[in-house]
Amino acid sequence: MTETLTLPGFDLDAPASPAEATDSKVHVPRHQPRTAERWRLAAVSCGLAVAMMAIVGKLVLTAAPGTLPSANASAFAAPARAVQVTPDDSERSTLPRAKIFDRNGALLAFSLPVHSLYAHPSEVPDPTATAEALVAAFPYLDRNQLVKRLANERTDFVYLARHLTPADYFKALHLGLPGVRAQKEYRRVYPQGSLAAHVVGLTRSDQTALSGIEAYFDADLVAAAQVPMALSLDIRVQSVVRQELQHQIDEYAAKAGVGIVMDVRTGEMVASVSLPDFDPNIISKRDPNQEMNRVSNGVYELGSVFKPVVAAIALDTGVAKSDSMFDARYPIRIDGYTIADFHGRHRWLSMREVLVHSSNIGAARIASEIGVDRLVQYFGRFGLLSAPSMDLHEVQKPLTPARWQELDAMTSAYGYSLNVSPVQFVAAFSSLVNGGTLYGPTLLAINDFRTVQGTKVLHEDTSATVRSMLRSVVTGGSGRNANTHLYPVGGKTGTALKRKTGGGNSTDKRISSFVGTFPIQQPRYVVFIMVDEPQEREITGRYATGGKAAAPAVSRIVERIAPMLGVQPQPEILDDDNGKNRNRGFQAVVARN
Amino acid sequence: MTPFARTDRSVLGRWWWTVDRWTLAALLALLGIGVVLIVSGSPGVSDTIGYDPFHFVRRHLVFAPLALIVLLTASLLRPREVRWVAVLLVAGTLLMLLAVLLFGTEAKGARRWISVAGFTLQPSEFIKPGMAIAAAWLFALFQKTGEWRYLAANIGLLGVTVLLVATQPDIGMTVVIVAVWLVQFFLAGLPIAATAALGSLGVAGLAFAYVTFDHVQSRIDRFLDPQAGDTYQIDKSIAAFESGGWFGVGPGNGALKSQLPDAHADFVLAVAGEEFGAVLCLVLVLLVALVVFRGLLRVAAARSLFVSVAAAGLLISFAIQAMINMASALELIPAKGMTLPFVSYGGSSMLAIAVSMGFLLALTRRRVGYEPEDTI
Repeated sequence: MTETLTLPGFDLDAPASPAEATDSKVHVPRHQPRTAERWRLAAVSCGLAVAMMAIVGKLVLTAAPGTLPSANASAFAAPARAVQVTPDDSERSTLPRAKIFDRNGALLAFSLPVHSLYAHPSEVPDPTATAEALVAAFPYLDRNQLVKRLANERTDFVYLARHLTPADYFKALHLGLPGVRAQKEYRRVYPQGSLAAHVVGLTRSDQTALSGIEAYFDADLVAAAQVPMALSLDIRVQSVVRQELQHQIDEYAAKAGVGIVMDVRTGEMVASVSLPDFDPNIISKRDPNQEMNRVSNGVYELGSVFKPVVAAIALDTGVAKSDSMFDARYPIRIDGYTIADFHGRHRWLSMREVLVHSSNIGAARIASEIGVDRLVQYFGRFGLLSAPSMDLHEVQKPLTPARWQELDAMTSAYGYSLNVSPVQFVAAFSSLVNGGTLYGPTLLAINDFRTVQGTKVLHEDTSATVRSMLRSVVTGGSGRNANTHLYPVGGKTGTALKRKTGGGNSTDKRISSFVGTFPIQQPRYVVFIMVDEPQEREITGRYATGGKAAAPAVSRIVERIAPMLGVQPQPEILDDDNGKNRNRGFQAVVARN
Repeated sequence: MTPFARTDRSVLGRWWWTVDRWTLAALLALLGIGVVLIVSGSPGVSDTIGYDPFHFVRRHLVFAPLALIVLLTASLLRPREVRWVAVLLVAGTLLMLLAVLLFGTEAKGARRWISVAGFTLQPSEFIKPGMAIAAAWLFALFQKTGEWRYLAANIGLLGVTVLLVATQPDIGMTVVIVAVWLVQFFLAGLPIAATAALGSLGVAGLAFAYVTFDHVQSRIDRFLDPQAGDTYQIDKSIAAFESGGWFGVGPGNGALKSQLPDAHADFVLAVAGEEFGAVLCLVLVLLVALVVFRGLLRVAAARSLFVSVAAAGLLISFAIQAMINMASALELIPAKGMTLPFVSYGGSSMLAIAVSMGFLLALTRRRVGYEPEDTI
């Protein structure tokens, strides 16, 4: 506006000094701005704007320090193992951890907001009266201890009661005790108790993680984004497996046990049970024997369940076919050891019969035919020679012979020499029956099985032949007890004598197991049951072998979980080559009706 | 919803159509947020001091409507009337400042308050709007006539005011008054060199205050080096913002306000930050910015030097006060007790701001045609 004015003597560019007009009494049109100049106003405005920007900047930096570099929110159930800032241990109790669910959305772990009472002793006017009022309200508190704490002038902070429920917290508020304060904390709660304790893991009362998924994905769980985590476990299946395993342990007065259900298409662990277990909600008394996750943290010589692995290698390398014959007439003597059979047939056996009758001699002969180098190479391919990559810290490396000799190869064919963890064995076994693809075992839910990348370790037809032989074991061999009426199972028993501490094998301490898969025509799940040191009992038919101590549990588990997992019942099945058992399941159903 | 028809020629009708309604709305919003924050933040303070919990709330609810009345009444004035009211205000407050000096109430280590009819009044708050108008008038007269006596009178007025305020001692208020005067000096079109010279004189004065007054020295030292002494208030304030995050912990849930001795006045922003989050703080900054920049736009369109310099002075005073308050709470500058206009508790301060903003609304009313008395 000023620019357009053309008043005489009005010169914007060269404002006259006021000094020139000192003596002027006459009104002279001189430097006489009729209003504040625009540029001066603009300068002042800029200064104010800069100051305000500084205030806004400092405000955002103070109130929301994380917001300027965008927070990396990881996708559901696919936690990026990116570097994240984890809170100090001292802060953990005041921050919630993300929830953990099973694959169907059943809650396995969450953080419950609770309050803890504390006091600054210097602020408490009357320690004795305060303690008495608290004890009156909460009788479980110890009066003398409270008085001692409240009277302790040397410390600045004492806890009076931890983790009050909302009701107790309001009760405490209504006491109106001067100097007694409350702070909001979070307490980790595991609604399923001991059911999935080894997998989900354990946290201390301040929410620092100790084990399991809690420890392995600690950074993701404490992240501000609070992305819930979905595990591969199906808590219903987990419950069935735990029940049936516990049943076997009780019946055989065994020390411990392992039960696993794995999805053969993905390597997802649908159930992962290790007994004995513990209640993660009660951490005051801890027992290492209970906390040991035998699924991944224990390594065992698993026994004859290894025979299908060696048979598959023989098929895949072309060393033998299912009807190739092996001499099982006499025990093998090698390096001062004798390899003998439990139920000797004392004749030549086809490879199928080696599995059906669980012949150690036959398996050793097969391993011998394959040769040490190829055998070890295949073991390596199956992931049996190194620690499996799991979503847990509690993973044990397998124990392997320092140098593989002929003897080691032969004994490994029936499950000795090589100590592996149950989970890595089950993963390898899954590749035997799923068409030959090895998937790494995982505890995280996989949304679409087609996206999972596996490693091809066997030919398709090798897998088909192995399935057929496994079916024979169940229909006419040592694994009969694993069969079910509606869901055809194939599998293999295993009974390993434990090694004595001094050397040599024990005669009465066993690892008895059964590994099975169903439905055998097109396997969806592998079920593995292992019982540690089952005792021989009169009522159970004397033997505590895999066929007795483990196989019946697999049968019951399959019958119970198959409907949950949506597997169709198939009473009419294609059976082993002699057709002897054709329609047996169907007939059984008809007979029962 | 328009309460008045366009053709309404009554005093209120003309007022409605010519007043800057956006600025008015922003000021009312500040007043409203202030009430909420005092209700939420002051009970803890009252508790600590030993008053009953709603002591400050009740008084604030007396002052807030009073401030509104003052604001609206002042905004009805015409520029010429503003000038005369301001002159009376300056004269009155200078007398009162003198009275405070002689028999004022001492609180927090300074004599700033005087008891009038049951209320303690802080006259130095009222000198700000008065000074802004009076100085603008003298600047306009000087520029119009070129007579040095107007400039001399102006400098003399500033000198007397500074002397009376600085001896209370109230260094913060002195800084604001001098700064506003200097900006007006600059906006009135006086030479840059003179502005710069006076500005450096002001800085020298500040350095003098640093050497002379212990509390000024200690505050600046503590800001520059937090280890130098107790930084309790500012630590609590920062912790409040951190705890609040973007959306706050919720009304009444704040924990730190009870540990902040000035949560209802100088650190009211921390209460906002903790309970309502950075979002409300940003809203407060935006409201202040709205008032200041809308006002400056109106100043740019004003047709009289007096109106533009006077309105700009009022706005600068408002802006400096708000920004010093916010920047103190956020540890951007050394802690300086200054209220957040219309939001903080504080009767004198709120009434003074109401007078100030009432003058502003009066000066920035849209005037049609030529008003000779405004062009001086």
